[in-house]
Amino acid sequence: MMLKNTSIKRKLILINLITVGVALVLIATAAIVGQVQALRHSLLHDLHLQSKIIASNGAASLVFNDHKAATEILSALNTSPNIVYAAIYTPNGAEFAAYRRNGTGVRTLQDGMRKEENFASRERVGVTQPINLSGENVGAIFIESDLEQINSLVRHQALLVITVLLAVFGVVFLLLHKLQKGIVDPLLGLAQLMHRVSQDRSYSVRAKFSGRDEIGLLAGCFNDMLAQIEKHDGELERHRLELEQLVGQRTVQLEQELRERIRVEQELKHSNKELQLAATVLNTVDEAVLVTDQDNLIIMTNPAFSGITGYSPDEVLGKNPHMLSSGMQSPDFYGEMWKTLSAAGSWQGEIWNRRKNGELYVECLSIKQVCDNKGNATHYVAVFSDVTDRKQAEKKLRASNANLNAMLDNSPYLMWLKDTDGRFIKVNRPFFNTTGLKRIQDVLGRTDLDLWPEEMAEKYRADDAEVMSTRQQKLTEEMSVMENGEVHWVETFKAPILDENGQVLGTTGFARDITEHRQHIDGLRKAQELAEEIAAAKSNFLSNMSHEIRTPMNAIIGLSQLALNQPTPPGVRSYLEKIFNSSHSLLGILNDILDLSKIEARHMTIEHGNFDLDIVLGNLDDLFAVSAGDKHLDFRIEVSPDVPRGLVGDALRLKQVLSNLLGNAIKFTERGKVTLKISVQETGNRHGKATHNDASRHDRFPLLNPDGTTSHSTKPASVPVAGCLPPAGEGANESLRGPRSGGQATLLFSVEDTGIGIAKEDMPKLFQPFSQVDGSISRRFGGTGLGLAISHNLLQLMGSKFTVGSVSGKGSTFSFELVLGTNPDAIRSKITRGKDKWKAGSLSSELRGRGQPLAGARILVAEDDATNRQVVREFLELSGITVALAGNGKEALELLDKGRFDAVLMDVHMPVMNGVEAVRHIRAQPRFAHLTIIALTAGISGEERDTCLASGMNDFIAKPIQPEELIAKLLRWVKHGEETAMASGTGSPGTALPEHVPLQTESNPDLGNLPGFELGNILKMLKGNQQQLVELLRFFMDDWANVPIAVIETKAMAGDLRAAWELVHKLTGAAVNLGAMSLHAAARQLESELKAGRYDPAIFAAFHDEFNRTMSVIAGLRLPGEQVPDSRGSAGAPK
Amino acid sequence: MNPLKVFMLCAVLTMPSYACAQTAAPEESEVKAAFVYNFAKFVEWPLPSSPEIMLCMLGDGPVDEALGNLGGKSIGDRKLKVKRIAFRNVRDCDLLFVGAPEKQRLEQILDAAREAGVLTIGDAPGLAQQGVMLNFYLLDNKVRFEINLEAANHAGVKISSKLIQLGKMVSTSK
Repeated sequence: MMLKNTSIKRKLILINLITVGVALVLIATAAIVGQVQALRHSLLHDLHLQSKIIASNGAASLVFNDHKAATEILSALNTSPNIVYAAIYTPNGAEFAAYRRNGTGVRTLQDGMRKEENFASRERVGVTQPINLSGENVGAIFIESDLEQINSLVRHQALLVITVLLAVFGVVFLLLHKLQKGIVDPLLGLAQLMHRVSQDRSYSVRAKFSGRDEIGLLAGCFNDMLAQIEKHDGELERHRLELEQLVGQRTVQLEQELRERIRVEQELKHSNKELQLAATVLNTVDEAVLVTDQDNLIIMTNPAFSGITGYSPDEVLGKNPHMLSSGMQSPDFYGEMWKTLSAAGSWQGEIWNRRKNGELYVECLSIKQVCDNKGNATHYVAVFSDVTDRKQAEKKLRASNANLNAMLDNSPYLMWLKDTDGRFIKVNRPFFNTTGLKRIQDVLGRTDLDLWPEEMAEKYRADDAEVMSTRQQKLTEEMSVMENGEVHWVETFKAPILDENGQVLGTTGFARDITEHRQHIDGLRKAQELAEEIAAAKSNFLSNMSHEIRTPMNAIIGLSQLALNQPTPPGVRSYLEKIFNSSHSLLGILNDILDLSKIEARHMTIEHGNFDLDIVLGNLDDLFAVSAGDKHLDFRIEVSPDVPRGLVGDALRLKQVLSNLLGNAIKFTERGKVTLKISVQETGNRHGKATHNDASRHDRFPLLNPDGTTSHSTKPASVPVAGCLPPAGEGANESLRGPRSGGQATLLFSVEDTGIGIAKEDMPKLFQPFSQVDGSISRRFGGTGLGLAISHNLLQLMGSKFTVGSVSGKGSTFSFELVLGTNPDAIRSKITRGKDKWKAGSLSSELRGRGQPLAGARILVAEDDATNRQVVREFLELSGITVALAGNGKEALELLDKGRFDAVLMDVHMPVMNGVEAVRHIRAQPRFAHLTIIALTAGISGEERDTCLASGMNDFIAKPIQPEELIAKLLRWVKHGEETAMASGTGSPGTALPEHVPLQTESNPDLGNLPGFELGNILKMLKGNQQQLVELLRFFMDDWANVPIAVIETKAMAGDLRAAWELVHKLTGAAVNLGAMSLHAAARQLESELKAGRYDPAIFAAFHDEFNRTMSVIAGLRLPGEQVPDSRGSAGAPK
Repeated sequence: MNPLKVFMLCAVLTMPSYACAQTAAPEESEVKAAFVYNFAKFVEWPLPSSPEIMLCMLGDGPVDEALGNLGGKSIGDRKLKVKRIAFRNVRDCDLLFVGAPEKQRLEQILDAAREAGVLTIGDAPGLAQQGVMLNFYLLDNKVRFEINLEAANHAGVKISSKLIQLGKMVSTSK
């Protein structure tokens, strides 16, 4: 550096000049800058002020879009020469009005419209001011000023500073030149003296300088230094001589030591080889080795140690092995360890320690003490290996074993494993608890023979052997009697244990005490048996009740009917009518109670028999026409034309439901009408929808279900046509309303009345037994209140339910849907009956008329009750039937042996020999194989009927006996004319001989008065030959009996009216020739219908009835002396 | 998108207004409505101020819709409420846009407005001379307004000098 070589004199001048210059420049600059800032600030302030004034003044011109006014306001700025540009902007930044000093410059404002903002550059400063009006920003103003004024000021002041600086420099230079001499000259003198000392090496010279300033001090110090150097030179010479002497001695010693060292090194080389071997061993073993000194500080480790603990040798040397401690051993543990170590010299065990990475591990540790020859411990050698993995595996195994044992021990079963020799390998805790064995060694390794009584053990071993040989599991239940006499049941399950090759390894078994379980089951079984006994007793009681009550009822009803048949004074007749009606009511109540009991006992069954709907309806009409008439009610039964007549179902129950509804309707209706309507909902299709019939039904009353649910009927599966009642024989060929053979029809039955109605809140009570809607109703109208409940249940059994619509005070509609099978074969000729049945003799005339074909038949009646015997006998005799009576089955058998009978009416319950047994005896004889036997029974259950039919009876009549039913059944079964094979005159039946001789029996028929015939002409033609006439009539009968009348019907229904007409026409001709005028008339009517192309089933039915009647009249004709008239005799004539 | 679709979209999006069809240049009616809004800023009423400034419209006119859009805008901390009124309700108003009413009716209206201190604004030539305080007119196709300061002074309505600078002063012609 140049500056280094310049003289101090120059340096001083330079330093001073620079110092003064810098100071001056800084002061001047600060002053100028400060002034400029103040000026700029003042300028901006002015601009702000001006912009605010303009903003305030210009706002109105801006919002009212007045450029001119705005420009005028801005032009006032020309008084400020420094303002170069000012403008007012609209809110979207467009210039609205502007002022330009030099007439140039455009500036648009985008941002900063809404806040005050300053703008400054080297040349210019500007201010943006938003224009607000009532808080709303309506635009902005911008004013820009140049800085010319400030800049000229700065230039002026800078010039001034430079001038002052130059002047100061000149003055300072002159002053320094004079002042520096006093400092520099003494320094130069001292320098010359030093130069001399270094050249001459003469330290005795001294500087001659006095003064107390810094240079004086320097000269003093220099002189002191020279004095010191002079003194040290002398001492150095003396020490050098001493040193030379010492070196000589030391050289001799070193030569001796060198020789000794060489010898030692040779020995070391030898022992190193052994050490290396030991080290190699240490380095290769898997066990960690650790050696400590007598203070238990580590002095050596091997690589295995580092591998296990993670510590390198450097990290552990000199430390206490305790550093590995995990803290999992107690201090006592270590105390014990040291005690053992010092006493026995070694210690072994497992310790949980911690690796460098913090992991715990288990080491299997062995420590040995190494002693010197005095017996003091010098080292401790520890060898250990990491057994953590092994430990964990052991722990897991123990845990899984414990789980397994817990499972086994907590099982309610005794469990065991046995080997192939039957020795126990493993058993669970319940095994001990149950057997009472205490110790495990008492069991394991032993066999059943060692543990149990011989018999038991042999059995067990046999089971085991079986399980092993069959390789099948085995479950046994064994009873064992304990010493205290208690009986225990044990359930044992045994199974073979197989290895993967299928080799039997042994057996396993499970057993438990099931005594309680067995007892529980036994209890249940007993309870069930008891319940069944009770049910049977109840059923039996019902049957007895029925029988016991019906027997006197039969007498009351029958006798009152017979009495009414006799001429009686009007007063007595009225009593008799009341007896008859009351006893019928009583019967109804009895039936209701029995029905309800049956329903509750679930003994109620529904039959599926063929029936003729018209007969059911006819009965209903008979039943209610009178009572409705008494109340002046309009009672009607309306049946849609498409409703099939032949149906399959339970006619009795249907009638029961309908008569209940009709009975209620009539009972609760004071005026107006009661209508039973029957219509078809759907046919054939079981899943159809309700038709419009529904709607027509609904429009009268709101429909409500008693249980509040929506109404729908569940339809039972189709039921095959079967039952006790065989298809009707006679009348099977009558007309049908439709070809619905074997199909199904859903019929809607509804009973409408205009009675008192049912309040909505009473609906739920409607179908509960013993509840009439109003308690007072029972008193007013009578009745048990069972009817609807029973009907409801019956409908449920038939798969239907009521729909009830009612308006209180207006009337009710009860309706239900039934799915019934259709079967045209079920139709029987309609039984018509006079309405004036209570006139004296009306019963006689009816029975006589109806039973005409039976006239002369012989019927045996077996009945134990004398009164009932009388009733049956009188009914039969009214039909012209000859009756023989028996008091029990045995008497009946005797009478059958003596005489010939067309049929037997057999009471079921009789003393000495009951009906069922008697029938069995009768049927056992081949000659009676075809004898008609009809049961009379007071029991009405289906079982009883089944029993009757099973014993060989043909049919069944329930008590109380209805005379009409009695005759109808007999008409069906008894072919009186065909059966009179044996002469009856021989033996009198004893008790009752016919008192009343029917019209035509075995006497010359009064052919002239034969009903329905006019035989006068033909007799004349035959010259009065009656025999010939009878033969002709029989010929006619044979001829036409072979033409199934059904053919006519079938043809007509198939639309072949012509073929039907031809057949009928032929018959018409034959009938008129033979004088069968009634038949002729009926046939003519049918003929003309057919000819007109119409087919009316009713007319056909009338024709059919007449045909049958005519044929039966012909069949009843007897020639004088003729006893066995039949060439067409049916099988089974008694010998 | 084809034009039809654009049209449909616009139609659907702007059912209640005609925003889509509006052009950028403000209509004359909108300028007048803006003026009316700004008048309110340069006026002081004789009665104490309520939180709402009630701008009333009497009769039908082309500016009605634009005025209606002013509803809800604020002036300072007061809200502008626009209402079409019947004559008898003039007293409830702060500003009354009379549009171009029948002459006979006008006198009644102005009397009522004067008594109630309502600023009246007209939109037909000559209304200022008849006593309406502020009245629009067109100059070089630009909206300007006349000020009848005398009418305002009678009603006690103070119109800012800034507004006065901008308007054309007229006086009531007798």
